[in-house]
This record gives sequence, C-alpha cells and structure tokens, in this order.
Amino acid sequence: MRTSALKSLLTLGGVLFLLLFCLFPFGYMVLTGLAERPDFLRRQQRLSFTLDHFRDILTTPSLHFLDYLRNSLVVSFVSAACAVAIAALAAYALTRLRIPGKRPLLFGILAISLFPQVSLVSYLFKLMIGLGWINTYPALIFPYIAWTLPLTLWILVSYFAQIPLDLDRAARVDGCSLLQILRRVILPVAAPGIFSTFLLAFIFAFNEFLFALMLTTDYQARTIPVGIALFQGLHGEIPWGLIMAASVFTTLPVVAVALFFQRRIVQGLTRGAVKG
Amino acid sequence: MRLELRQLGKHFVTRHGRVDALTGIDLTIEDGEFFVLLGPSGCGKSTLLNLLAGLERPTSGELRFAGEVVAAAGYRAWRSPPERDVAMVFQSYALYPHLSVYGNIAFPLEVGRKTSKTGIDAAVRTIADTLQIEELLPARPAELSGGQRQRVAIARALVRKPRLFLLDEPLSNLDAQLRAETRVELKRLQQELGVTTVYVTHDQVEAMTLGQRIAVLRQGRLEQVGDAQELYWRPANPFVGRFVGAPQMNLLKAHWRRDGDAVRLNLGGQELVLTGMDTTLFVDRQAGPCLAGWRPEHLHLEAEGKGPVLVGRAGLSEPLGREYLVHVNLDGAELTVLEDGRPPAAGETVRIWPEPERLHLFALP
Repeated sequence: MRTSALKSLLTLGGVLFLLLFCLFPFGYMVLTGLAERPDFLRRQQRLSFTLDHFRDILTTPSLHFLDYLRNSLVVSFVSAACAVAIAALAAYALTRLRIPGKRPLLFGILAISLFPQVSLVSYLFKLMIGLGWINTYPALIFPYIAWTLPLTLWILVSYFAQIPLDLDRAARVDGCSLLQILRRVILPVAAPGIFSTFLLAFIFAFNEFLFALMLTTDYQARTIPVGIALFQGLHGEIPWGLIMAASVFTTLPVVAVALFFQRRIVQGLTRGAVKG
Repeated sequence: MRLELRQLGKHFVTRHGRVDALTGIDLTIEDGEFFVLLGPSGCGKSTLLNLLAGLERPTSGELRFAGEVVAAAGYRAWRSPPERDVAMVFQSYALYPHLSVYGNIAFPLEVGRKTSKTGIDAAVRTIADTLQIEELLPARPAELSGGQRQRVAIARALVRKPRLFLLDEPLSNLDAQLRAETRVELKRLQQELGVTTVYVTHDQVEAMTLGQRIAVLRQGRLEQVGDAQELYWRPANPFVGRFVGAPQMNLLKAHWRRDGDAVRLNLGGQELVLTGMDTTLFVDRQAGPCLAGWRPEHLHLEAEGKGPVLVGRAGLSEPLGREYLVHVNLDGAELTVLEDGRPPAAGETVRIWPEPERLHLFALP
C-alpha cells in the first residue's frame, strides 16, 4: 500500500516537474506581457499588472502587428495547402502505381530535406532578387512548399500505404477513374491523416524564421516571428512588454487549433483508422 | 452475358524472374450461368477474376464479353472496368469506411452519373429490401457484423444490375453456420436476378453446391471443367480426384491390364480381378503402371461374399459423427475407409471390398 502511494506520488511529482519545466517560458511570457514594467524581478520594483501592452500591440499601426499576423496566416495557409495537395497526389502515385525505383526516390526526397536551411538561403535570396519577388508572398510560399514537401510526402505515403488496395479495386470496378478513386475514396478515408499533415505543415511555416528574415524587408510580407524579433530595433529600448504580448497573441491560435483538433491530430499521427 | 476466354494467359515479371499465373485458359461461360473457379491458393483463380474485372491485363490470348473483345494481349483491345459494367464482391468486402451503408450502396450509381437522385434512392431501397438490410442503411461499415458487411457488399455490387457478377471468396470470413445460410441465399439471389456470375473459392463444398459448372485450376492451368456430378464421378486426373470430394480420394500405385471384360489390378502384391465395370472408361488408358483411385465412401469393411477384397491392417479411426474414417495400412500404403458401423480396433486385420464400378484409373503423373 505504502509503495503504491509512493509510486503515484513520484509519478505525480515527475509530471508536475515536467509540466512546470515546459510551461515556465510560456508563463513568463504571459506574465511579462501583463506586467507594467518588464524588469519586475528587480528588488526595488513592484509587480503591477496592465493590459496596455496587449492594447498597444493591436492598436498601434506603426507596430504592424496585425499586418505580420495576416502575412503569417496567408503564407502558412497557402503553403501548407499547396504542400499537402502536391504531397497527396505524389503519395497516391507512389503507393498505387508500379513505379520503378520507388524506394530510392523516397529516400532521395528525404535526403533533400536534410540540407541545412542556411546552405540554401543565400541562393534563394539571389533568386528572389532576380525574380523581383523580394518582400512578396510568393517569395516565402514557394520555398515553404518545397521545404515542407518531404515531410508531408513521407507522412502521407505511410498513411496511404495503410489503406487497403481492395478499396481502390472496388472503386475501380464501381466505375471510378484513377483520379476519382483519389478524390472519392482515398482522400476521405485518409482525411484525419491529411488534416494532421496540413496542421504540421502550417505550424512549420508559421514558425519559420530564417527564410522570412532574409526574403522580406517590411510589413508588406514580413511574418510574425521575424516581426517580433525586429520589434527591438524600432525604439531605443527593447520593448519586452510588447514583444511578450505579441508572442502571446501568436501562440494563442496555434494552441487553440491544437486543443480543438487534439483528437484528430493524435489519431492522424498514431494510427491509420482505416480497416476495410 | 456470354463470356469467352481464348488462350488467356497472364505472367508477372518480378525481381526473381517470370511467374506464370495463368496459362492457356480456354473457357466459355454461358449467359446467366453460375460458374465457379475452384482451386488451391496460388492457383491463379483470383488473377483470372481480376482479368475478367479489368483490374489486370492479359499477357496472352483474348477475352470477349457478348462477342466483343474487351481485353487482348499486347494492348490490341482494352475496355476499362467502368466500361465493362461488371460488379465484384471482395473477400475483405472492401466497403468504403467513410460512407454509410446507404452511401456505399449508392456509390456505383453516383459515380456512373446515369441515374437521377430519385432513381438512385429507389434502386438502393429495392436492393436493400431484397437483401433485408434496410434497417442498416444509416449505419457505418465499422458498426456492422461480418455477415452484415457481406450483405452490404453484395448489395453494392448488384444495385446497378451489372452484366457480370464476380465474387472473390466472399464467404471465407464468415463462420460455418452463416456461410451455409449465405450460400443458399446467394444461389437463390443469382437465380432470381439471372445475372451471369463467376465465383472464386478454394472450398470444394461451396463450389459443388453453388456452381452450375465448376472449373478446377491448378498452377494457372485448367484441370477440368464440369458440373459437380462430373467432377465427383469422372475426375479427369488425380489432382481433381483428390481436390473434389471429402474425405479425399485414395490413390494407390498399381499395375493394370485388361482381361476380357474384367480389369486385373495389381496393388503391391495383392491382385484384384474386377468385373461389372464400364471398361469403356479406360479405353484410352494403356495397360501398365497407373494410379488406382477409390473414394473412402466406396470402400467397405464388411466384405463377406461381395467380391474380391483387399487385406490390410487397421490403424486409427476418426469419428466423424454419423460414421468413422478408418485408416488402413495396405502393405505400406495408406488407405482411408468411410465406415458406418463399429470401427475395427487398431492392429486388427481387415478385409476391404472396393466397389468395382467406382474405380478411377489414372495414368501416372
């Protein structure tokens, strides 16, 4: 009896510690965003709360926070949607057609994703200058699609491979063309997997920093991570309150989506959910 | 619809070389016939079904539906599955998990786009009524039992009144009782609808009870085509003899020759002189070494005064309920005898009377 109590106590303690460890930065972020002065840990300072930072972030046009948010959402949504659409077609072909050299192809694609971003960014910069796309959405969308494609393709290939081939054959006999099989059977059956893949690609693009830093110059295309990082340069001091308030706003949609679709994401990541 | 298969063949090229799945299949299946393809696993029966459905292309020969060539080797002619108007029931049922039962059954009609919404609804409800699955229409496939999924799969296949109905081992995932019930129902349904049906199975009981004609396949070749009676009474070769009928036919190495109206059979030292049989059956068989076959039900342990007998030593007896399957050792060869009476004790010497007219003589393979 005593050992089991000890066990559960240890488990609880471990969980609490991990939770604190992981959530501390977020807690600190929220606290700093709410504090009147960011240096509230100093002895002579008193901690007092204000919503000014949050209001300023949303209402001060010169901060361009809402522009950054819009840019981020548009760029992430479009690139994730394109990546998933292309990956779905590719995964369908790779799992359903007789293609010679299927495995080398897949591993080649995986190998491409192993290049460090830094090794690409200078070339991308030259390319975007040449195209005249610097500081536009396409400058970010196209690299993001290319960058997320290996990941999305691999997830969808493993997902599609679990869908029994008999479903394809049944649909074929029932009168579907190959594309109709994809649209009417494979995609709906794989919907949870496609959805979680889309979210992963979206979050990846939403968080991306290096390309966004190099390929954008101002609020017309700059995304949130870069925008927040560059808050520092706007005024003489480092506006910690504003930075943290902006970070909270940025975190919220991602957390909300993750909580709301928690079941589907976990489902998508862990099982095929398709037993014919 | 009349099906003609002319020298149809299919081989696959794999990393380990060429695999011949089917070789030189010549068959004609009549309009409205219930035709069964029977064979052990790997004999090519499912490949043949896929060729009929249009899921695979033949590598030799040609295939005709009602006179029209729908597939020929070398891409000379090709009709895709949607153009062939065939329906298929899969062993795994292959129901669409994201659609309700109603959606599953309506699927072929919706894809076809030839039927109006009200027409689809009427067709779905009619076929659901025929198969008694109306109350299942709103359910998802995952909520159904094996037998119910089976019915939905059949309904989906039959809803658009196909020219050809294909079934790939549809009963093998059901328990024995349900299998027997569904078998009867399938036969009734097929007779009602009169749709040409090709049914694949490895179960000879299913084949015999369902098929108007049965084709026995082995290693991609046709061994024999005929109705259940023909396969049982006149198997063309030892393989068909052993594959059709349960318990399996006994095959004994023997020497035979004709002696007037009689047949002299030498079985490892014991000689039988059999009379009263239809020797015209053996007209084309040369005297000499052969395989002599008797089914266990045509061998009898109560041999007194019935005719020539074989002498052996009884082994184990397996009770089958109504009768016993008695194993008998005959100079080193194993025999099984189906016996209604009390079985002999192991080790006892037994005399077996084989019914002369039930002898099958096969050339040595």
